Amino acid sequence: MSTPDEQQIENQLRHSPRPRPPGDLKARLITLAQSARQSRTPQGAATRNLRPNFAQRWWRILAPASFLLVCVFVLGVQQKEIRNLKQNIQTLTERIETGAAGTETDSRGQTSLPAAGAAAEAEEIARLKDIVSRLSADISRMEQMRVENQNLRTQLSTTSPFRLSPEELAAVEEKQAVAMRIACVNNMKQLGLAVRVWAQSEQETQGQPEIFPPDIISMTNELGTPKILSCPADPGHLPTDRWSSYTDANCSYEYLAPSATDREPTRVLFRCPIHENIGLCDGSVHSIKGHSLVQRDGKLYLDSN
Amino acid sequence: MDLDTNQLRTLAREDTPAATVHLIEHFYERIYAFLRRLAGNDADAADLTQRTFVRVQQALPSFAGRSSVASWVHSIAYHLYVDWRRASGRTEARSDEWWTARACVDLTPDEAAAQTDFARALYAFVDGLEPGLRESIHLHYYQGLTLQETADAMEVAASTVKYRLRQALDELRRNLSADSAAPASTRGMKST
Repeated sequence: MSTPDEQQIENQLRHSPRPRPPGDLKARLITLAQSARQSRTPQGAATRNLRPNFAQRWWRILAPASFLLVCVFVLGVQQKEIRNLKQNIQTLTERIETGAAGTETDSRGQTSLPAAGAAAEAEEIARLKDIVSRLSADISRMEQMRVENQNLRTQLSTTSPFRLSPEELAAVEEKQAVAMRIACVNNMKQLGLAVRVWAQSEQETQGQPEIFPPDIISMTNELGTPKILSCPADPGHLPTDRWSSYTDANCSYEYLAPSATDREPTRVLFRCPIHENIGLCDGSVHSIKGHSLVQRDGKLYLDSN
Repeated sequence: MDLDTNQLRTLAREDTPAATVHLIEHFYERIYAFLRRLAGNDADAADLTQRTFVRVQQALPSFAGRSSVASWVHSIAYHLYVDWRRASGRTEARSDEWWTARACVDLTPDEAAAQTDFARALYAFVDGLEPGLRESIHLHYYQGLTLQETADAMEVAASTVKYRLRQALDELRRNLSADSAAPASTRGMKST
C-alpha cells in the first residue's frame, strides 16, 4: 500500500463511521431533563467559561505592550519639550545678538555706547583692582598679627611670671593660713557680739534676765549674713550669702551654750574645730593652744588656771 | 441544523428544560459518538453523555453565547471526558475498535469504503496519538467542528489547534508510511 497523502488522510478522517447510541439513550436523556428541577447555579460556578475573554487570554502580552507604549509616549512628549526649549534658547540668543549689534548702527550722532561703556568698564575695573589690592594688604597684615599672637602665646605658656620656688610657695601658704585664722577669729567675735545683742534685745522686750538665743538661726537679724558662720579654712562647710538657702552644712562653728546666761563669762560659747579657737560668753575669742577646757555639769569652760 | 445562539438563549431564559430537550434532540447522537470513540465502551459513553446533558441543563441559564452552541456543548462533553479519564487513570488508547462496533447502518458508499485496511490502520493510529492531538482530531475531523469551534471546545487558541492538527497529520503519515513498509502481520500497530 502506497503512503497516502495528507488529503486522503483528511478525507478518510472526515468520513469516519459514527458509533450509534443505544436506542433508549435519547428517551432517558429527555426524561432526565424534564424531571430535573431547574437549579440555580451561582454565578461563575460549575461550568467553565467556554472561551476566556480577550483580556484573559492576551493580558500577558497586553500589559508589557501597554507599558512600553506609555513609555514611548512620555519620551515623545519630553523630546518635544526639549526641542521647544532649544528653539527658545536659540531665539533668545539671536535677539540678544541682534540687539547688541543694533546699538552700533545708531546713526544720530550720539556718543557711541560701546566706547562709553568701555570707559565705564575700565574705570570700574580699576576701582575693583584698587579694592583688591587693599584687601590683600589687610590680609597679609592680619596674617602677620596672627603669627605674632601665636608666638606670644607660646612664650606665655612656657615662661609663667608667677612660678615660685618651693620656699616662696611655703611662705605664701603660711601667710594664707594666718589670714584665714584671723578671719576665723573675726567671725567668732561677730558671733559673740550677735549673741549679746540678741540677749539684750530679749531682755528689753520680755523683761527677763539676759538669756542667749536657743540656736544660731534665731540670730539672723543680728548676724546680718550667714557667711560669717563658715570658717575660711573649712572646705567641708562652704559659706552661703542667703538665709533662705542656709543649712547646718554652711556652719563650721559649734554653738555650745544655747539659752545660757551672761553670768558665766568663761563658759565656751562657740568653738572652731579647724583652728581650735573658742569664743567665750563674755565675747572674747581665744586660741585653745596654751589653755585647757574643763567640763562641769555638761558645760564647757575655759580653765583659767 | 445548528441552533441559533440567540434563540437558544431566549428559550433557556423562558424554559430551561425545553431548551435542554431541544439540545438533546440536536446533539445527543454526535456527543455520544464523540464520547464513544474516546471512552472505548458503550456504558461509559452513555454515562458520560448523560452527565454532559445534565451539565448542559445546569449551565444553560449562564450561557453567554460567546461561542457557537455546538462548540459549547462539545466543550462540556470534552471536559467531562478529561475529568473522567483523569479520575479513572486511563492514559492509553482503547483496545476496542469503535469503527467496527455499532457503526451507523445507513452507510454511504464512502463510509463503506472506510472499512478498508487503510481506514482501519488510520483510525488505530489516531487512537494511539497523544491525548491533545487525538482529541483535536476527534473534534475537528470526526465531529466536524471548525478550527475555531474546536479551539473554543478545548479552551485553547485556534493557532494551537492548527499546530496540533499539523503534528497529528505528520505523525499519522509517518505511521502509515512505516506501516506500509512493515510485514503484513504487524500492520496497523503503532510504530514507536
